[in-house]
Amino acid sequence: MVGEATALTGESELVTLADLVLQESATITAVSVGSGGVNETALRRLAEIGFLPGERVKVVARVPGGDPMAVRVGNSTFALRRREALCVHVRVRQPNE
Amino acid sequence: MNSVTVQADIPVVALVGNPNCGKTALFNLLTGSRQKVANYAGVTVERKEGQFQTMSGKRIRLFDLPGAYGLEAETPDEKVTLDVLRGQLPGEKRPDLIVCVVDATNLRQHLRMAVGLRRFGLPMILALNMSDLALRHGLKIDVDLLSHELGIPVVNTVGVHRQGVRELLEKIDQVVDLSHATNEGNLPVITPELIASDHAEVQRVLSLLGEMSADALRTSDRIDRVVLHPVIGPLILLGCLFLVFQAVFIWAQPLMEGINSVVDMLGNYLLKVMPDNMMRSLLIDGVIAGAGSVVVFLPQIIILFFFILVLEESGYLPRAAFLLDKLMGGVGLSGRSFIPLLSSFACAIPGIMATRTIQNPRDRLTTIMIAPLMTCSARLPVYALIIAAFIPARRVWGGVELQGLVLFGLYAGGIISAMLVAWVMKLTAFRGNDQSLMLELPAYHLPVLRNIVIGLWQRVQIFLTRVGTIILALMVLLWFLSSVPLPPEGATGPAIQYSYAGRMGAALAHVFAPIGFNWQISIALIPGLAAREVAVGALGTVYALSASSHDISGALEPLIAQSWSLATALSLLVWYVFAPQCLSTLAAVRRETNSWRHPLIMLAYLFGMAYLASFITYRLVVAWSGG
Repeated sequence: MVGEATALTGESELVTLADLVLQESATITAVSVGSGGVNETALRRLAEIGFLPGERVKVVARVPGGDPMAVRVGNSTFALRRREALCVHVRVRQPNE
Repeated sequence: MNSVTVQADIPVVALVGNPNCGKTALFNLLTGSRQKVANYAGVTVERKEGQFQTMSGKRIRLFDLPGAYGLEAETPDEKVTLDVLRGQLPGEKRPDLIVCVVDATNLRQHLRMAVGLRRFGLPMILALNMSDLALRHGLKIDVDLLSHELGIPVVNTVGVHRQGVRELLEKIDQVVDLSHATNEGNLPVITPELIASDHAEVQRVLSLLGEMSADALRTSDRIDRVVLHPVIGPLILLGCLFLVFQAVFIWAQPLMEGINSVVDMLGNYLLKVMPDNMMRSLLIDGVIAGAGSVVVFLPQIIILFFFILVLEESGYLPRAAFLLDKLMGGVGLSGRSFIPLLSSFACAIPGIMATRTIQNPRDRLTTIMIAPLMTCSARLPVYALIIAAFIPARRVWGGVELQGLVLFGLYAGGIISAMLVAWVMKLTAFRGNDQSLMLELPAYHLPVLRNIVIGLWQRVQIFLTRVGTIILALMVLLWFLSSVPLPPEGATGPAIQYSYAGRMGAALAHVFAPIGFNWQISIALIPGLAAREVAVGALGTVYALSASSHDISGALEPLIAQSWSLATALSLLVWYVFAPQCLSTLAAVRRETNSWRHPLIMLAYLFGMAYLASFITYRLVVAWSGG
């Protein structure tokens, strides 16, 4: 379900896509307004392009300064600005996952 | 419009799908050159329609609906897609059949569209496009199982060669007469939850097919490691831009000279064979010179769009936008505005046409509005004339060439004011702009020649027919104003002084006096409306130089150096940085925005800025040199 990140447990609670380092894989736990300050439209758009709970994501490129970044979600790659990446809550996947 | 009524009985098939699913390539393959590109009524969304025949000889009208990620009407593109599917767009027939095109290598993302489309109650075929690529990556998709699970016919397609649409043609043949659209009932509101549930359905189907995880993106990723590299990436981009710039200015040069000499030859021929009357003047100075001044930009436009199309087809263009996003984001634009603005240095018209690659309508409008502030090549003759006459050719600050410095300053002035205008527009008119990027970086593809050629042909057609006709009409009007009425018997001044344009110029001289323009300049500004460089020729005419003299600039230079003050000259230079003295650009804006409102706003704000900037320049120079 798409909802608040508070449903999650443990240390991953505050981790968003914006925190991932290059080539680090993670699983989306929730997509919510969070600290990105985007509107409903942007949230729906994120869902439409595939940022849905359970999907795997990976940061594949960043421009100097880190904004925007290129993110692999499923089999697609999207450029997101930092404010959008802040809405995507993730759980970092362990190397053996 | 009348074609719609004539063809009412021909079945309509619509292609729907995510951007980057190869939909347009499939459309090109099915319809070949039998396609029409226009705009949907009232909006700037591109409407593409074509025709083809099925194997059994049925004629089909095919719509290529704008690509969309979802089925919510957020952008104008998506609204058009949705309205067409519901049969709610005035003047458009509801499709009898939809072909949902998906990228077979990316079912996880694209299949969600098919699931959502089922709610519309329209007969549907699912086309697994790029099935050759999927196969090459070891993805074997069980078409029958997929078809059974989704409850719709499924076919394999390959959008890049002729054989690739056979199955699709057969299936359309079978389905198009049998099935009928039903009313869609109440379509649910699209929420993230609904999208997630559609996605769950996709995952269910995919798990039945066996999770296919061959990495189709390995090559693409390898390229991106270089192209999106924080240091190498921008260097490659710079190289690309340099190449495009070089090509547009250098490669186009011989072709443009060729066109000019043909136009001259034609004019000279008529000059010889026709008697000296109004008709000859209309043909030579109005029609031929008018059309010539437009057509001469065709080589630049073809070369520019060739590069843009290749970059777009290959998948590099969104990467360039990604790399430039930060730079453009500072003034509220996104990386996508960069290429159109770059194009505007050649000529604002192709630049404005290139804004079609900007999906966000507000970004697109801002880009259109600031495009004329990029110094186009037509301004160069005017700059060259005034700089040569007034700016001493000497070196300052240890070796910098002063004339070159002034020219650079004029270019920089345009860019800086464009950024300023964009920034102001962001603050005022477009407050609440949803500043998201969410730009797909599709896998790299080798460009297909057919798609480049078709795309190029469509741009050329738009330029020549639509813009060309308006421009030509305006040119003829200007000719009329500059030639009628004829000077009275025994008149001593140049003929143009007695014409309507001359009288208007004399009236305008009062308006322009505060910024230092004399009546000669004021008159020259009127024919200069047609195209900026025409002003040089017009100045020649006003100063009673022989119009046939080959080197008007050379003869003018000492004349104006003598009769204008430095303040006047600099004021005119600054005027040219801003002034919207190009009816062709305004005509292009009218076409691309589908309203008179935006070209009028553009006209007003550019004139305002030009007047203000020239006024300040003139007063400052007068105060400085006189005091």
